[in-house]
Amino acid sequence: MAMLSRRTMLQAAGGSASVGAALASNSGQPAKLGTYRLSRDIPVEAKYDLLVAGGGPGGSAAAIAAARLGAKVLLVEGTGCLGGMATSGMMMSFCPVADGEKCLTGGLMLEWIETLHKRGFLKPGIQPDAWRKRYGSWVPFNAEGLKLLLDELAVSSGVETRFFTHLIDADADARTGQVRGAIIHNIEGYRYVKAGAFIDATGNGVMAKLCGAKCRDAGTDTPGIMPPTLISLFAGIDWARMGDQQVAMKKALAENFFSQPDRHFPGMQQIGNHIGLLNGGHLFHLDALREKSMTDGMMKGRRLAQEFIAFYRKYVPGCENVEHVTTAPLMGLRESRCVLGEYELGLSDYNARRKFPDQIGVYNYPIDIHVYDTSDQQYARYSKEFRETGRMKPGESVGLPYGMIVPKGFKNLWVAGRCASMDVQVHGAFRVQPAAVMMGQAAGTAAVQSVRTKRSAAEIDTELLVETLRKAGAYLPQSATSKQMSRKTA
Amino acid sequence: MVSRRSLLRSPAALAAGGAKAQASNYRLVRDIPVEQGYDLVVAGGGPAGTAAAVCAARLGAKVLLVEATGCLGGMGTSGLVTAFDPMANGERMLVGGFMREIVETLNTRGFLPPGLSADSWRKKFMTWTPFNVEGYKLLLDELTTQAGVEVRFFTRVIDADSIAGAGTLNGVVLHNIEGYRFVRAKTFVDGTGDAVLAKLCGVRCREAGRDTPHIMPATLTSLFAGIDWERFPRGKQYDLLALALKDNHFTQPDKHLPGMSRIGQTTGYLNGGHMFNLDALRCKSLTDGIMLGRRIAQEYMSFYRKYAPGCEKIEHVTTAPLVGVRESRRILGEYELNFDDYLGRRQFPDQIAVFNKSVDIHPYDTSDTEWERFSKEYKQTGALKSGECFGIPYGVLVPKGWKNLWVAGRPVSADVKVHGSLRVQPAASMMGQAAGTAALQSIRTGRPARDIDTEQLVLTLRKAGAYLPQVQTRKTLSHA
Repeated sequence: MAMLSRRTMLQAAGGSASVGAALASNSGQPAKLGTYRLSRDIPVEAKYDLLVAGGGPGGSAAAIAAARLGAKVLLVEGTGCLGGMATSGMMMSFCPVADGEKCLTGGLMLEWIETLHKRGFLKPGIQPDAWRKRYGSWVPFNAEGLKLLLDELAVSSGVETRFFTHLIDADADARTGQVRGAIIHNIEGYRYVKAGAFIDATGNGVMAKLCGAKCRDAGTDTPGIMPPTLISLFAGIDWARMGDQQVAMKKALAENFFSQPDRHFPGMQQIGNHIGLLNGGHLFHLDALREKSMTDGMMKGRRLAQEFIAFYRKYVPGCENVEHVTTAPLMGLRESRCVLGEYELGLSDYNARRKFPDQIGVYNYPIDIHVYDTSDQQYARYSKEFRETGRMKPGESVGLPYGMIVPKGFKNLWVAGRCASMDVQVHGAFRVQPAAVMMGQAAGTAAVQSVRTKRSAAEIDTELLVETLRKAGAYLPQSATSKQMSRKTA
Repeated sequence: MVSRRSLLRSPAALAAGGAKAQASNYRLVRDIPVEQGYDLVVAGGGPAGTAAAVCAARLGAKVLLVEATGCLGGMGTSGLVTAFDPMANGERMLVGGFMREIVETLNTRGFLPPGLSADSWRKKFMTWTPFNVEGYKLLLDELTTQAGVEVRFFTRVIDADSIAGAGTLNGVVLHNIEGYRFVRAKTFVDGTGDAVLAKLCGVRCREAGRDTPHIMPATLTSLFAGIDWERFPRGKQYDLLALALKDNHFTQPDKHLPGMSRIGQTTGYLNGGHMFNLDALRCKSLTDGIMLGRRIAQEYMSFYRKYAPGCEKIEHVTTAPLVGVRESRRILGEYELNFDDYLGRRQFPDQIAVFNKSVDIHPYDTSDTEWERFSKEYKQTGALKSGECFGIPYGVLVPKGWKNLWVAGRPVSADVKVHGSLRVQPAASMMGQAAGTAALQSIRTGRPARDIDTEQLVLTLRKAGAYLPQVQTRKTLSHA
């Protein structure tokens, strides 16, 4: 049927589908000057309660959480695995999730960590205190273990996953806030997917933007773009002899070793007996929303990675024989687009360690806005923010209110992950994987509740949402809950 | 795929832009920006597409290369098939031009395995050349940039505007983070590996498993670290496999194991495990297949740890981002290279490459019959001898009846057996170089794909370093 309609359209369009020429048969109106009219009749699929765009930490959590509650879920992922930045981005380390006393994340994020631990896919020798209790303690993992786990959880919960499939368009009415369908594309061509609810977990707010939601693009609507990093995997590391990487970096910079004098250097983290992931090297001003910037950035990232392998071999004890195994398939983006939500979580909330009756998670990661350039001022700004002004003390945390995952005015669309509604500072803290998973689980849960209770995203009973999340293991310590979500928009 | 039932259940058309679609379809109507001015658009930046783009750009063409992933190299990089198939025939190197430049440069830069002799690719018979995947990515970035190719990563060809009857492709629809673009060009090369662009244009294609009885199985390759290569049992992986199969180590008793190849001091890549019946043209099959591939990879890791000396402490670094697909779609071209040509070691006046790899059609299942069929074909009935080669005529790249479209890589026009030989990277690269060169010649001379002067094409390719030993050349392409 798909092929039949394609043939028909090809014949109809034929040579007449020319630039700027009228194609009355398609819509009754001529194509805009200088444009080409793409017109295709595409098959409709209408059996899903929820479509999730993007299978990163946020999207995978959303899909699994919703499917476990009984929803019929389609998860659309552009690459061939789930996990997003954690797998395809090779950022194989969860940011700290405990506050010195307890683990701040429950639910799926805790389930993933505990399962990876049980299966031997966490860093060799890591103790559970690293995620259950200790403050500022990272949780490195083997990406294959996470890929396998997410495959398994998606399948066992009944999520229908489609790999190598892209969300390319949306059918929505921004005035009414109703999303009717998503247009996806893969090896089989186009499909129009009609669903009751939609979650944008693309990282870049791709779907929300297509639906007409108000967004803030980094570098366009803000002065700077936080630079990304192309992560690498290394082998042949003698971790027992591993030297001080920051000391080595100082020496190398003093000797003008690198093509750019980038002092901000998260460094190599151990993930296996002899392997490690390198979070090093920034692609300044890279704009993830511009194709050319992404293409040039990937190429530059690969050249930077070569400088880092030479650096490790030359300057860092234990790394004399390191081998560069691979750079990541995806760019390690930190900032691109934020969607304006019903609640924009801001620095004042963060500074006040504010808690919300409708919070769907609590977290404490510091404001970690990587330097915008290699200047002294930027390094000073970053260091002060990350170590002092933007850092919570042990025992502290801030709430993530439900409204930050609801695009303002939309009835059946949610966002999860770093494109959620946050100001630039809070985005710098909660852009990371554990926060994305918490938001994803909440978005999936809220979407199911919305479909079942026939109430729009902004009008669902947030007390019930909190209760459902708690039942699924979320750590939500608020004593007072509220049936209505908190709203605030900058 | 939408089932008939769900289509029937789906609601009447949702209209967009005031247009009505036929029942149970949605009419997508978008006015999208147009780009023009390109001589050549290449779809897919694998070995074939990258060669086509660079070689055309070096001859002065304005080229756009569209690649869905974030790097060039395709199966060699994103597929982690980090070894080039044999390029020499025991006496001399058969592969010249761009492919030879790549392997020689990787060697100069230290991106080939420690201690690998240059005879491996310059002279030896049926010898593989493994490489460091990052070195290859960097080199292709560099060569495309130097040649002036405009590369767009994370960009896909999703549609085409063509006139099938006339054999003319007007433009392609691209999609990436910035949305849709309609790109017009004078010529197009399909280097997608799955003949995606050719199919969109309406080129006649054969699909494995539908138009043929079987699909050659795919493999999800892996990278491993911590291998003690001094102690590694070279040439004995099949003995170890036999032991493991006897112990019922694997969930599927797969007798075919290309094996672990050295790529660095302690690193290696594994071509092991098959996803039988995986259909790369079906999303569900690809999705289920890559998940199965990841589970199989775990079994191979424990197999090597348990059975292979030197691998007791190996670490599984990663599976590949892309499935190692071996067969999906083949076009019907102006010439279809068949097994008789192969067995006849046939040379063509218009051949654009010579090659000698055995017919390497992996077993279709785990049966003894299939293993015997494969072994016999690979080692005897479908194997050339040292010193021999077969020619790849120009017509395999030209979809029958098409004027400005070429296909390069594994979907070229060949029968199933010959496809089993030339589906690999060095052949793809040579075919890509020829396609890019032919496209430019077609533009310059104003002659359609099938009518270009193939004598001139051969001359141009020879000038660019191709090894084309035919004594006789001819101005027209060979048909079959």
